[in-house]
Amino acid sequence: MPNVKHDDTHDAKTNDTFDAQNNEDVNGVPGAKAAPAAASGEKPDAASNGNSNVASNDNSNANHNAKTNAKPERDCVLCGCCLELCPLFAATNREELSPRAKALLSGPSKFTAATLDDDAVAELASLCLACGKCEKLCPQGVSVPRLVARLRAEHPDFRQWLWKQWVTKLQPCWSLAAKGAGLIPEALTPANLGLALKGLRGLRPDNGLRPWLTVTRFPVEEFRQQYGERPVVLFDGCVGSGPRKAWGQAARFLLRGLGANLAEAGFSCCGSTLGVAGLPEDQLTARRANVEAWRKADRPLLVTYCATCRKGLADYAAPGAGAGIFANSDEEALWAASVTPLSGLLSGAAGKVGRGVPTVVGWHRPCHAVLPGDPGDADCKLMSSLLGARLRTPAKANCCGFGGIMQLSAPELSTQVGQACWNGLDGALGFTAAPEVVSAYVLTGCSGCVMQLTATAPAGHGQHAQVGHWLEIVKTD
Amino acid sequence: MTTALAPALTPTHLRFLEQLFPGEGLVTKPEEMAVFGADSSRRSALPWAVVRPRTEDQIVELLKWAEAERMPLVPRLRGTGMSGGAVPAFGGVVVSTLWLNRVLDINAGDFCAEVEPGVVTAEFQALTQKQKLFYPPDPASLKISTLGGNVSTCAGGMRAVKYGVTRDYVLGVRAVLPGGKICDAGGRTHKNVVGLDLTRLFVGSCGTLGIFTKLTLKLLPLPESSATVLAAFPSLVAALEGAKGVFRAGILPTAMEFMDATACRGIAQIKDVPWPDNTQAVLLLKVDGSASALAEDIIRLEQALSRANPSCLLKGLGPKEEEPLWEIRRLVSPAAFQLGPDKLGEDVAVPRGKTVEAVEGFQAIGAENNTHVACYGHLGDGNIHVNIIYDAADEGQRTRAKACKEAVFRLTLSLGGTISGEHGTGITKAPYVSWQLSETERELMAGIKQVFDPSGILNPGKGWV
Repeated sequence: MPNVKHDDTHDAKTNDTFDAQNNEDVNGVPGAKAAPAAASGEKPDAASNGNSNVASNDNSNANHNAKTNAKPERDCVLCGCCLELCPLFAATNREELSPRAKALLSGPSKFTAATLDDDAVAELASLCLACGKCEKLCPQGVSVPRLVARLRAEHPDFRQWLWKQWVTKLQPCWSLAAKGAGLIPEALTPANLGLALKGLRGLRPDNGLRPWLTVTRFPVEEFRQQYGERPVVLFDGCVGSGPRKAWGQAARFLLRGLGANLAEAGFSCCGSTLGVAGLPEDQLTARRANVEAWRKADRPLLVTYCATCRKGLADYAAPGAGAGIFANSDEEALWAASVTPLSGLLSGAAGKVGRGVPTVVGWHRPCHAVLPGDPGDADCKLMSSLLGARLRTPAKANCCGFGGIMQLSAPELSTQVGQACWNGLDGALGFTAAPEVVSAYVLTGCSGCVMQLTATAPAGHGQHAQVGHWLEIVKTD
Repeated sequence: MTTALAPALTPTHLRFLEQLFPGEGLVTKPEEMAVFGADSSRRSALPWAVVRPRTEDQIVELLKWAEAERMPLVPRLRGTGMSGGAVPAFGGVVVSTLWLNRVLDINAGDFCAEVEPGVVTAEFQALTQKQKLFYPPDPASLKISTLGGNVSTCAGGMRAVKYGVTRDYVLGVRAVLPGGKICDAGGRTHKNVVGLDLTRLFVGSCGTLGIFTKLTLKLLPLPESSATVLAAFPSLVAALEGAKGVFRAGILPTAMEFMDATACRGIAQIKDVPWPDNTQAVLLLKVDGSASALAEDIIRLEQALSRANPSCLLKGLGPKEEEPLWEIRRLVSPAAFQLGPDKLGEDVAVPRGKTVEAVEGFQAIGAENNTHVACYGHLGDGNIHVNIIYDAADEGQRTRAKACKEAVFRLTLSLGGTISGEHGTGITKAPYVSWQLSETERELMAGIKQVFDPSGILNPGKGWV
């Protein structure tokens, strides 16, 4: 059984999560380990019941860990803290889809009250959006997305293959795919591909938002003081380098406005959704290629405009990212310090809105917008300073339900979560209550969110929803 | 119990459930059912099947059938209980009522609300606050647990000293009984003395009497603000003297929490603490009310505590200033693990005047057994969390921990206390119930159970066996 020592980072995490949940009564929650005997210590009772079929979850995980060759994680203690924010559980109220169920099925101390089928466990546990909300709440530091990625890797199937084609092969011609998707009649679309194709269709270049925001002041001096002449490269990601080249154009326009010493590098996919899909080797290949491209460009500042790409890149320097990505720890630290969101560089910019500006604009916060150590959602902060009261944010930051491979493996669940997300946006914007005054106009900062929100947008009300990356509203002429 | 319960689910049974609960309403794959067989007690057993009603009618049909078939049913909400109350340890079909999750009514005129059992407590509280109304029960799990679960366990919390526990806010319960009859206990009035108080029987009954479909809850006006005082003392007696002084001064705090020396030592290992090294106990008090009255109350509170000579006294007015003080309190539980990798978390309660004796006794039990025993909790209402910290990998420590637990129970009972103030007995404390309740009381309870559930199909083996 895992006996993991507390380290400083871990304690900090425990404290944070306990802030959030005020949970002193949870027996054994934040322990250094979950022990079989923690349950059996409280078990004079079960033993005394002859006909009881109750089982304590013992940690017969030695084999499991040997098999996955992974560092043993601290174990789930079933406290349920993760139930607070899981978007899949919130949208469905189906406990078998909760993070706790996944940890119970696939964590080090697996469910032992019955013999379960490994493939069926993998199939069920892989119904995860990988949004990471549960991970932030867990007092034990259990990462369900990581558990799920591991399970998906151990149980490969055709959907992973399909996702890989999607991300790696189709990428250069996504524009075409998006156009093609529009040409395929709904009736002919394979059932499981419907949602993903709908998302792609939403990315057609002519589906973009019309720009209406003119940047009138760039924080040139601030940028110069912080970065001087250091070269800057932009990480476009799959969507920005494919179907929505306009994002990259707007981003480069803004960087030039800042006076950045703009360079270029030949990046590939960030690898984020490949890893989640259970394709660790492909992820590692992508990671190595990107670091090599960065190295060749003389290790410049690495600017991102997609929240998930940024997380994907930041994760290169996370523990367990994979061997041989970096030459040494200095390079790794430099990478970690170089990955920067574009919006953060623009803090202090001023702008004015022009014709075509909607009355109110919704902001969808991507699950990956705020990384550990971030003071907040930099994209949202920039937009709210530029748009003021026009920008409306739902009280609860709901997940859009994209979840990468989930679009292919369980489109119906992905859709259900997307609908719950739109309900939250409707609550903040009120487009259902007053369709003549308010339109369903939503900005965000992640390419996955743009695809998913487009694919799940509510129909009707005599209008169609408009969804885009915030870069789309920026005038570049 | 006269007839034996069904020993398993037959194909005929399954066909019935398939018809009554179409689609995702019925869960039968073991992998999907696993989580429905576990709860925060970390016990688990595999359910025979899981059903998810969307309507009360389905529950009525289910209970007609279950009664006829002697089919054990285990009601469940989010499974965050600490004592295994939701674990189908003796087999049966788990009934998840999470899909009954509407807030039906929040009425500022009547000061009451009607909800379905699956509503999350914190989400309900947020809704009431929008209308300047207040639902006080605040179990630690309030962000993740449901009102239905809180009612079936009679969940407590820190505000109990002033506002009471869940029981004090349940005006009515609508429940389906075995055989399919519907019982409407209580109602929307704040007073009601017609007949026996069936509502109270349902509260804390751990799903053994009926399956809830609607709860009527009492609301209060929302207090404007709050203030907090933290005081450290060089001895446990001085701290408890300080607490007494507060009540003597005529102040009824919203919360009155304490932490003993072991708990304080644990916290000091993970955080810079404001108290001196020789601290033996820390008190944390909250008062609520109007902003203008609070400014005065906090001065009175300070004066009352000062008579017991605290070695350090900090105060905060309004949530922003209060937060860092309460953060310390919330660290107690994680901090306990600084002293050892495993713990037994007991939640005994004693008559309020016996708290000193109890805490000193628990500490002595720890010393005798050479085991860390940290005491903290709800001093104001005599509910003490006793954390027995040990290493489960060491058999000697495990044995000593169990000896401590039983000694704690014995001392608690000798002081006129109860072995569980909040968590309930479920399966983990079931063997100890007879230490507290005599045969007469247990027979009466069994008789009541028999009236509601003559075949014993509802959550068998739980509560007061």
